[in-house]
Amino acid sequence: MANAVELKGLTKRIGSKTVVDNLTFDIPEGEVFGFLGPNGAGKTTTIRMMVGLTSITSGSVSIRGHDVVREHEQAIRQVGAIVENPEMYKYLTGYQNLKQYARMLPGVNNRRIEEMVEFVGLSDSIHQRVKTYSLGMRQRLGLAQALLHNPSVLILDEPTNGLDPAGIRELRDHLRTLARTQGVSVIVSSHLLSEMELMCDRVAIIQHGKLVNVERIGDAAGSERAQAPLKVFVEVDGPSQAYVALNGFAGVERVSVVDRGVEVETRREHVPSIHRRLVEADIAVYELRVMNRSLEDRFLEMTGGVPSDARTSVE
Amino acid sequence: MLGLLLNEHVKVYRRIRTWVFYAVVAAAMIVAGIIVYHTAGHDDHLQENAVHFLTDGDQAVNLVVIFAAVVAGDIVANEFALGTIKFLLIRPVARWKILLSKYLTVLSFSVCMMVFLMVTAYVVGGLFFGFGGADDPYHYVHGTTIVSVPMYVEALRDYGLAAVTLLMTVTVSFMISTLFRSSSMAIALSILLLFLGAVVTHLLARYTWDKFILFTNWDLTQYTEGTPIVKGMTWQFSVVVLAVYFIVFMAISWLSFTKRDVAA
Repeated sequence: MANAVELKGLTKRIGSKTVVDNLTFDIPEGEVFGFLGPNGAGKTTTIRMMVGLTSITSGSVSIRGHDVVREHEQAIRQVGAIVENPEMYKYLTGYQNLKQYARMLPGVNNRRIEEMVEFVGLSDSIHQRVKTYSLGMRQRLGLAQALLHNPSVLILDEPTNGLDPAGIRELRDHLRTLARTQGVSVIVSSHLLSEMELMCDRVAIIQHGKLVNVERIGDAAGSERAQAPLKVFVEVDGPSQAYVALNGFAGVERVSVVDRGVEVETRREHVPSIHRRLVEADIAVYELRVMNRSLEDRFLEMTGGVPSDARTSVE
Repeated sequence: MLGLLLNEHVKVYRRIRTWVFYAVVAAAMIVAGIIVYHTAGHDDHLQENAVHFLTDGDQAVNLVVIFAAVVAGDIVANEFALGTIKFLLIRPVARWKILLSKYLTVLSFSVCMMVFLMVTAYVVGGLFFGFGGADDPYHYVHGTTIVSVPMYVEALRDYGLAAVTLLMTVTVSFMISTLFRSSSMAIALSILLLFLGAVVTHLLARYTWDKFILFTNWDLTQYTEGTPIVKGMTWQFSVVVLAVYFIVFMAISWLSFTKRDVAA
């Protein structure tokens, strides 16, 4: 797949402070790419440079082969974006707001506006003034605005901000649809880690303006999965009996007694035999749960926060 | 470019504020008409007519200047205040075109307001005192001689010269709006300059460089009725000075809008 967006050594210095430091990565067509980092990490500044709102100190951004600075108009034509909050002209209606942007984009007619209004589910309120809109409705209007000209790159800064859970789910489905069926590259920034895990194909973690890592979501579900080390929590009646049964058992690296059960360090392939062993030892098993390391743990670990082993999820 | 101009006009004329401005101008002329009607003596009444009233109505030009300065001071800064500038600048349109469309919209608004003032003055004057009077003689002193011109010439000249002050004021306001991205600052400063300009000019009259100050030059009526603020100044000199200021103001706006980062 061709790269829709390429960042090469992208750097922004303001005075003596380096806000964005030498970011390099590519985003292929049809990928939902997440931009993850704590507040002040340089996410928004990076997005601003990608759309030409802020000058680039060094390095480059190219969108569909067009340099964002030197060929700004060709590059930006490919891009739909919401940078920070979806701010609108409050004294105009939603429709009049969209008309404003339609007039600045080649080939956007009223039919296209209607289509996008329907797509984001604002048909009922599009002729009301934006001052009556909730933040969620303005997010939807912002999305309609970003999609008007059928862009091949969609950049959304904190898009789930102000959406209710149903709205977030809907947005996620929209973005996936755009990426899968139309090959749109979607770049979202967020601090909602769990959202990113559900929405993105890959996530770039940045901190202090530096790229910490680029993670493929669902890597753990890959082919090496059987060999992947993991920790299993087993809820049993008698933790000490379970300890005795499992200590030194084939495939068990380490076992420790915890509240209401035991924790076992092992590999995925050994989980069924561990279960069988407990059943054969006549120990009642109430729950057997893989303590999956979420993106949040990895994120906190990488950015120097405290990883929480307590964070678990059922696989 | 037409689309951009349409956009800017929509943004100006969809605001209630704009229509309040028009209403205030109309109300001011009607009130002026009523006052003149009741206070003028019977003899004066015979002389008063639509064109005469229009000529006197140039006092109300300051109202137009203030309202135009408000629109000019708001047109760039408000995009930053709202945050809509980010949506505006991520389009396949050069920044300078957006800026130009905004400036042209300010000029168009100024001209519309001015024409509206003149039409209102003429109509109000006509309704109160009768239409006509365009060819009545108007006398004024120029240097040492008394000059006489038709009343309509005087009216058009008054408004035409006032339009120069209007142009310079909105350009200052527009520049401050673009440079500081603050509409309140742009509006306050430009209106302050409008009223303090004359005072400043007179305070500095003893210095030779007073004649290079904007306010010394932007009132061109000093060359028709009255005497130049600084001896030896000619209208050609003032026009050149004003042109230089105009170019500098536009250059500052242009550089500030096209080169600076948008962090709003």
